[in-house]
Amino acid sequence: MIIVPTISEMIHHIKRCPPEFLAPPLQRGRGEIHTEALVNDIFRMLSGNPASPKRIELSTAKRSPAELSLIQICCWALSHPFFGQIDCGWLTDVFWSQLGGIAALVKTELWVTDEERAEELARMILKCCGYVPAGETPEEALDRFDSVNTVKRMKVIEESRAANERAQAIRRQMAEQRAREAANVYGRE
Amino acid sequence: MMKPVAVLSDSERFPLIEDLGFLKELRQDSSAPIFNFGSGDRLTSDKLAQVDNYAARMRAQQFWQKGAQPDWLPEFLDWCRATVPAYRSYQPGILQMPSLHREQIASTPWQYVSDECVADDMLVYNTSGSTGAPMDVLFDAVSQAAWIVQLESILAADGIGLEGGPGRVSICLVCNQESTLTYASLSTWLRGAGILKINLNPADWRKPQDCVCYLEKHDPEILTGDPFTFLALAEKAPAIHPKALVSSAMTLHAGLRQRLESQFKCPVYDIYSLTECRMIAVAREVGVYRLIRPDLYVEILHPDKDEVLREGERGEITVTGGINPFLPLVRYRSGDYGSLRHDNGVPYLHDLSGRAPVVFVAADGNFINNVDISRALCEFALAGFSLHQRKDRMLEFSAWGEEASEADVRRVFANLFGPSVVCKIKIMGAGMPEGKKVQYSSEFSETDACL
Repeated sequence: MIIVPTISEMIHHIKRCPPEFLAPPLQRGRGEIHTEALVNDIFRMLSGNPASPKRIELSTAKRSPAELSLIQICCWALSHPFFGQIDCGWLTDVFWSQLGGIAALVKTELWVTDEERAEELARMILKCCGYVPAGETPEEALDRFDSVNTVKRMKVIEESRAANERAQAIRRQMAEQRAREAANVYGRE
Repeated sequence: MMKPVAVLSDSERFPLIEDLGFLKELRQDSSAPIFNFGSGDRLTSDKLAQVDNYAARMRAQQFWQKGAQPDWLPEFLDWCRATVPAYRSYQPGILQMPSLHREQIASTPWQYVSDECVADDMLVYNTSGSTGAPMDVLFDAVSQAAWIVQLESILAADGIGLEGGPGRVSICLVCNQESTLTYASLSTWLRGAGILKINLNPADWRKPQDCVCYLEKHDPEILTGDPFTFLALAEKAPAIHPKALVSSAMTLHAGLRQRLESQFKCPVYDIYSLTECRMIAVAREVGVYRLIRPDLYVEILHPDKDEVLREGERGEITVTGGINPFLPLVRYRSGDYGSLRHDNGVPYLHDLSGRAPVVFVAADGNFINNVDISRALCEFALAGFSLHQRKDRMLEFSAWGEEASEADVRRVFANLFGPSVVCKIKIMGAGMPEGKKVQYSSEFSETDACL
């Protein structure tokens, strides 16, 4: 029987991320961690086949350091015993490729120090592998993920910034003499 | 409050009219008034095409059926929710949408501008607040020119057409106020026809006989104004031949209508309109107003809750729609009351109230237009006020506002009503009760003013 962790348990696990996983990724001869090797090690561990050949190509040169660091943190998150109980077929390039956008929006260390970011990461990973945190309904899980989703939050901030700029532009135009001259009035109101 | 300033050149006012000779003629006429403003219709070819498109829609569109909603409504409401900040959080379906009050628009007009609007196209008109506190109304050249299209549809129903063209004054808006903006202009939509806005006040003319002389010389096709102004005009008895008189701003009563129709030998239309959406309905007889715009959905709502009243029940007149993308209206409460009844597929407003003319009399016996009173009181930025005149001509004034002093208000009334005016003034600071922000009442009646 598969025992899905509660969200608190996953948050707790992510926040205990060892410093080795946070070390700078190796890129162009600089850094410490070979991220692609780490990802493939995790995959071998989860698939239960320690001798299998390399399965995941990361093309690290094309990824930002922030993205590679987040991939490393995900590797730690996936070391939770729960992921060893489930089929690891979901762990494809699709998963690893979606981290780039969000990595650019959050400072790396916050994923393991900030409660809300750790929750976001936990919920994102569980959603990707198709499981709902223990004690939650699928609707609750989706709703709670939306409430901590950085991409959504940034979109709201961006929309409100754009709305504010638009309101300022209209107010400036209201003060323009050219607008105040208006146009012919033909009847009384 | 920012005052309008004439800053454009004539070629900016009339981008499509090359020959401005007729405009100069109207301005430089030896009997012309001392015009104090410049104005144009600002129609470019793109905007003119939009007016044309609106005219075609006006001719083709049908009114919604009794108990039904207009076909265009769902699409309009979706567009409002998608592009207008103030409506973004609304739930779909008009019956789920809250009604909108004048104060909401007055406090944040920019929230009602569609994201699709280009800010440079925006025009601003400040209402003097004859029925509410002053407010900026945002609009564009297309929705403004649509007024003429709406007028043409009213006239066409009686077989009247506008000739227009250069050399012909088509519309003359006549005012009778202490002061107002006046100008000679042209209409691109009416192929270069003249448009006038004049004030009957003798102070606006070089010689006393000029007003009648100017009107007779240019003999406008249509005169527009309010009942008080038409009464004053009738007394001057100019020998003019208008095709119609268009009265608005306050109810036109039967006695004055008969007098005007027999004196000017033309139909007199009483228009119900709001600055926020322009024309709504027209009356050819007292108390029954035919809706004229299928693009403007009218509901009658309960005064205190957003509940639609049944056909024939009296409540607040509420409008949705229009063609102004700078102020698309969703369930806008007009502050006026009446009931709605369908007759032969056309909706009519009955028992319209809230627009009864209020007669104020100065110390010298002259009548005073409440627009002048509203405008004069603008300087105090009042939250609201009520003004009542007793039969002995004494004024009773109550106001809510932080900036007005009793002495200043007394000075304003002495200017308007004459130095001997007696007034009882109560200024209450903040905390105005709910209700109509501006209330005028008088013990003088319409018969005193021969209305």
